[in-house]
Amino acid sequence: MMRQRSIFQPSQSLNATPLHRYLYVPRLYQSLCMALMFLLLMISPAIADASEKRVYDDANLLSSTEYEDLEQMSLEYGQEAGIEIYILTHDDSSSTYPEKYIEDFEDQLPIGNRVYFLYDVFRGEIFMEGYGTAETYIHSKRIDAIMDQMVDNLRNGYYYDAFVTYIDMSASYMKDDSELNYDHNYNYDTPPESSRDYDNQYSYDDYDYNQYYDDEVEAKDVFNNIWVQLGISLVIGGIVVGIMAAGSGGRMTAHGNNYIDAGHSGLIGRRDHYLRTTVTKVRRPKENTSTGSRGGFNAGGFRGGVSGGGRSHSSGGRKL
Amino acid sequence: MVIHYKCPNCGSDMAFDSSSGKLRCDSCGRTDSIDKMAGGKDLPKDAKVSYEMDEEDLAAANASFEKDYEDPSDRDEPATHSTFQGDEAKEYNCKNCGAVLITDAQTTATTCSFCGAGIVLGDRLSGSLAPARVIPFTISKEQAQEAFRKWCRKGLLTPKDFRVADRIKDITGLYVPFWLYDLNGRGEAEATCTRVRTYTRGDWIYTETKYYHVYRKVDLNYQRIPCDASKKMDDSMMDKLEPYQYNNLKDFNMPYLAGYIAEKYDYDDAALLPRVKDRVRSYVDQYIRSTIVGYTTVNIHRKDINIRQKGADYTLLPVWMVCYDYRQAEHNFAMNGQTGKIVGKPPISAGKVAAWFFGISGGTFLLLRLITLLSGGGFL
Repeated sequence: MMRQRSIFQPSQSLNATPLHRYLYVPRLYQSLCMALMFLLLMISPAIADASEKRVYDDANLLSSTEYEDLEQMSLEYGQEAGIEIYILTHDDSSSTYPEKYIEDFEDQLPIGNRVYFLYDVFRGEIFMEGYGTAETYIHSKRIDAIMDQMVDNLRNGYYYDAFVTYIDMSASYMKDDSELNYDHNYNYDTPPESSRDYDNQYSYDDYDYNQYYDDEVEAKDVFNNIWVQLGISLVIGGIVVGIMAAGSGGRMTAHGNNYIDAGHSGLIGRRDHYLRTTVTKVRRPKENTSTGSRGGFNAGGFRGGVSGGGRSHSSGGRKL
Repeated sequence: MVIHYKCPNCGSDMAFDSSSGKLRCDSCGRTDSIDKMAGGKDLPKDAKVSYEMDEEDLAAANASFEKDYEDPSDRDEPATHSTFQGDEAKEYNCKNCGAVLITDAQTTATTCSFCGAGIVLGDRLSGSLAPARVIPFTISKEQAQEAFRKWCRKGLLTPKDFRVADRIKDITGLYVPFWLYDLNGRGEAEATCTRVRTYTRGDWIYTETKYYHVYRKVDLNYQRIPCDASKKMDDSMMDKLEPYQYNNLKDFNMPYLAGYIAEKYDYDDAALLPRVKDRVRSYVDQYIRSTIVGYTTVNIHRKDINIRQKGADYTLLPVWMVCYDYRQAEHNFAMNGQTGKIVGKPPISAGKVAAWFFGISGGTFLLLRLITLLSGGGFL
């Protein structure tokens, strides 16, 4: 209980750095927008629910009745809270790391207020992200609190119970104005000194976000790696010399057109029938987020990041 | 039947001259047209043979030995000991010197190894073995040698001492038997093709894919596709000698062979048909593919190609065979006797291969490092 209370200490938000003060205009604008959206969502929840599917249990952790229940529950609680509550699970070794997995999922959807919970069974990691109003309300400290309540059940295989906790807590945090995070610029690699978590209250400090960023940077820099370049050079040299050696004995230079009787040859039938059209769309990548989903901390010590599509979000992850 | 072409003037041996396209006597310089010298060719009864007598002919006629170059001895049957069939080894005697002519079962023209006279074996060029067409040599032995030397110098991977090209052991003018096929290829194909367009609206990049069902039917005629009918010759080498220029394709006459080596075919047109059909099938395939344009992706799911032979001409094509001695090993090269194209595996110098390999690799590596440097990375 002591722990819980300390999260919501008002002094935390008052500790904000000067950066916060410069941002008061967008902050006001943002709040206005949010209030408007809230109103809109309250009036017609159907608009927000373009798709009714909320639970994507690719790892098959749930029974069909549990799945139905959770679908129902996340829709109901989500409508009441004004957000869309998603549950994702997968056991796919080829998929990207949890933070980016959710970001990529979000980028496929129109802009909205969403909270995600992902259980990456293959990596044994859980991750949460909040978008739109959920970014403000379900910030990293609250994510941490939600996960605190979930981990035991997840570790013991009570997935349904854990997900119920997640839906319940997410929805109730949307009504809790005690400590909100309006600063969506996560510019610090580590939490600033002023908001440093000295008592180690938050487990999100223990999660090693950088492990995946390093891989990503490495993959991007692979063509600048001296050994890779050496390898490419040797392969090109080998191919060129191979072609030279193979061609030294003369090449076949006679082709079909050397022998075709052009006057008595040709196309005698052709049809080009239109069948159908398919359209797919992806969110346009923003220039300034070309470094991918590298997340960080804001001045208040809240963690978050930006998706490839330019959507900022709160975040928190944990090893199970 | 051993046929010699004797100079009507001086009685010396005549040989085909690639530069003039006529028979030429090396001794007195007399040239005679091929048609005039083609004694062995049967003409239809109603054909009018006209030939203009030149000064020498007139002189000969006036001197009343107009039959001079049709010496009866030329028509003698060779002294054969054989109960052998026409396609087996047979012994022929040179009519100049009486020496035994060394021939293979395939040889149809050769030179006497003893006196050097050009000889044509007429009985191996008649009946079903009579070639229909011939492309005469247009490149002489000297030109061939020169062209070969030039080619050797161009080799980027050949050893230095090979490039001086001073060890041409033997250069032989060879008429290689080919079948020239006329083929008809019909093909039909059905494919699913797409056109992809991407555009941006607001924050989204849209990819629009339009699917089409595409059908094509082609009727193609290919003329005179050569196929090497000699067992001795390497097929891929002969294929690489192509293309030949068919505007110089002549009706066959024996005098074209005088002074060269010639062979008869080992495989008849039916035996080689599958090989040439395979080749034309790929041509038809490529043609069909070339008619499907304007699509981003093409996925052919049905393709039927049928090739039909319309005809095949037994044709002799000119090839210079160059035998080159290099470090106790012989390297054989073939040159198109009409166009001068050379094929054959030259020796490859390990040192030069290494030099090129490291040169190209090193250059590429430096270039890549430079790009890294320019894009903000360190050089090392």
